[in-house]
Amino acid sequence: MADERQAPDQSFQEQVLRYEYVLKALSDIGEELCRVTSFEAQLKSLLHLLLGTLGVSKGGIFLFDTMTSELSLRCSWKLSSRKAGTSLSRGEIEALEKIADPITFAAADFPFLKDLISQFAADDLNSISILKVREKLIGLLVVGQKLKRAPFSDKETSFLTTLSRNISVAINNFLLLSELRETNKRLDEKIQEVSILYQATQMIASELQLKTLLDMAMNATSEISEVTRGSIWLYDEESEKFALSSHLGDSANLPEHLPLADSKLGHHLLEHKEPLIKTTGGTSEIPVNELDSTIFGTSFIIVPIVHQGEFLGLMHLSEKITQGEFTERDQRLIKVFAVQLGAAVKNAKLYEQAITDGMTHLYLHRYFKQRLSDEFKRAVRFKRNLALIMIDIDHFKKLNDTYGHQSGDEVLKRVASIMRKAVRTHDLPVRYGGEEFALVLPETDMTGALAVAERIRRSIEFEIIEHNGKTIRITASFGVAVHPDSAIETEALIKAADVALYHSKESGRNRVTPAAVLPTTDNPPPPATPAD
Amino acid sequence: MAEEFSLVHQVDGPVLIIRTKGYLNDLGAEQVDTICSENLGKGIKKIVINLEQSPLINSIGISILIGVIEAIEEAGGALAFTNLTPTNRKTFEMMGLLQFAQAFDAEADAVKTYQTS
Repeated sequence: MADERQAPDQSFQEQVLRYEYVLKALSDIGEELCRVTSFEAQLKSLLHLLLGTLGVSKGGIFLFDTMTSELSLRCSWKLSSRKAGTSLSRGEIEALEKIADPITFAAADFPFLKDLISQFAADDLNSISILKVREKLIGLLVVGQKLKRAPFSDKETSFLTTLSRNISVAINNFLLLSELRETNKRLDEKIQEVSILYQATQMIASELQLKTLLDMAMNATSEISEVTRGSIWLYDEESEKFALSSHLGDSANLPEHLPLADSKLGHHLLEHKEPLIKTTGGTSEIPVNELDSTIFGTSFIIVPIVHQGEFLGLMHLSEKITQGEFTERDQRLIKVFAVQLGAAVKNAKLYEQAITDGMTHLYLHRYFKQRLSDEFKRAVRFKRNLALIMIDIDHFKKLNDTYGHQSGDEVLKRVASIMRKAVRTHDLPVRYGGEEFALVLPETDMTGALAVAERIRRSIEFEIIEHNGKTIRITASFGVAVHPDSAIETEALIKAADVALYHSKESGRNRVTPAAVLPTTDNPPPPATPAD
Repeated sequence: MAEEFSLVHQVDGPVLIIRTKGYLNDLGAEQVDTICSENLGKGIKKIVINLEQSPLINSIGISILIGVIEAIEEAGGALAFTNLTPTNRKTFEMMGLLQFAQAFDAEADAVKTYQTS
């Protein structure tokens, strides 16, 4: 009697132990979800948990990718094949998703995907479970035999079903979390992109000086795309040439001008007005000739600078800091930036037209007055030098009478060109009126200003102008005044330079005269005799 | 406080001895499987696994040990577990592991048995 009672008790105790063991596995699955680890490691843990709970020596987890409809073996233990997969048809997906209960089948009775399962014939699979959360297919779980091929009891099949459901939820949660992380990452990247673009466009939006604007744009794009080489070329419709207007990095291979006729790429860009991206290895259909390759390199992004359909030029970037290829992101950012740049360039060009003389391309008198006044204030505030050179072409009226107005215009253009070449970025060459020019030199003292004036004087003296078969030689006279030595206010500075110029004329022309130094306590007034 | 899994192993005559340390629920426990496979390949078919320093073994550990048992069975070898805690012994019994492997109280007993057999 006692023996009969003991047998069920022992069996009951064993069952309790077994349930306890399964419960522990379920809690382990929960714990596994909280571990910060890779998805692959989690899958492997889940598979081992399941195999150990059932007492099975081999198995694998297949995952279903909703985007590609591919079902592939993502994790396996002791299976004969570590790689397997198949593409599911719409019908197969629906059938697998529809099955409510049972979700666990004896391997031999599994009604789906015979071809895929047959690849594991050597593994003598015992059961197959469909992994799903509600109606969503997650994948498939295959398990091998217990030791000595002992059959699964009903309880064990039920454990397998319960564990499969838990594993499905775990995998689904992990995938959702990964998706969320991915979305967050993309969002962060977008925010960063917008912020970079905002800063870059803010910087160029209010800049009206074309040269400064383009240099700023070049620097901004180098930061956006992390490149070490680049150039901006403005297109001149009249001459059908691109002019190198700003560059980044080595400019040894860059000509000053690129005629449209010589550049296949330029033609293509002018015609299509669409960005071009070229990678080193990529077979692209971008038309590039030898000159284009020399200038732009083998891997680049080129974006047209366009404003309301008008082609203004192009921006080119090459050589990433990371040595990598250009990406879609680079292209997208540069494209957006180029739209802003198009508007800014157009603005700057219009502004330049409004403040420069059409013939000589030097600044107009009105703009000169305003800038001189600004520069003067700055020089006073920061106690810096400011030099003004006044220039007048000698015997210009006679030259006009002798050779005609056209020749006179040519002379003015040549002098303007000499002046432009002689100045630094922040200097201001001006057509003051008629045959008179001015040059404003910030941060320059008398010695420096006299040197500049002398250099220009000599260049003009040695310039040979051939016009309509005639050879014309000219000279010019110069007057140089400097703040604070010659004057302490704007009008007085102009006056001082004018007086010095007058002295040059009076003393035989083709010369440079410095303005008189203002009397100070250290420097008593000069004797009342005129300077020579 | 999860203690990371580690193991030491040595070959003593015809016997491979593995001493594990830490929870046998870490994926590091796959090393047990690797070392057993390597030695079975070299013809060392008697294996003693000392679990003294691994008092906690969950289903991950069991799944790995089942793999080892299967491989030894196929190779016609023998496996012994030693220094099992009472809980682990019960779990091993319940999961049928002790039908295919012997349990010894001390490592030395198991090694001695295998060296003389």
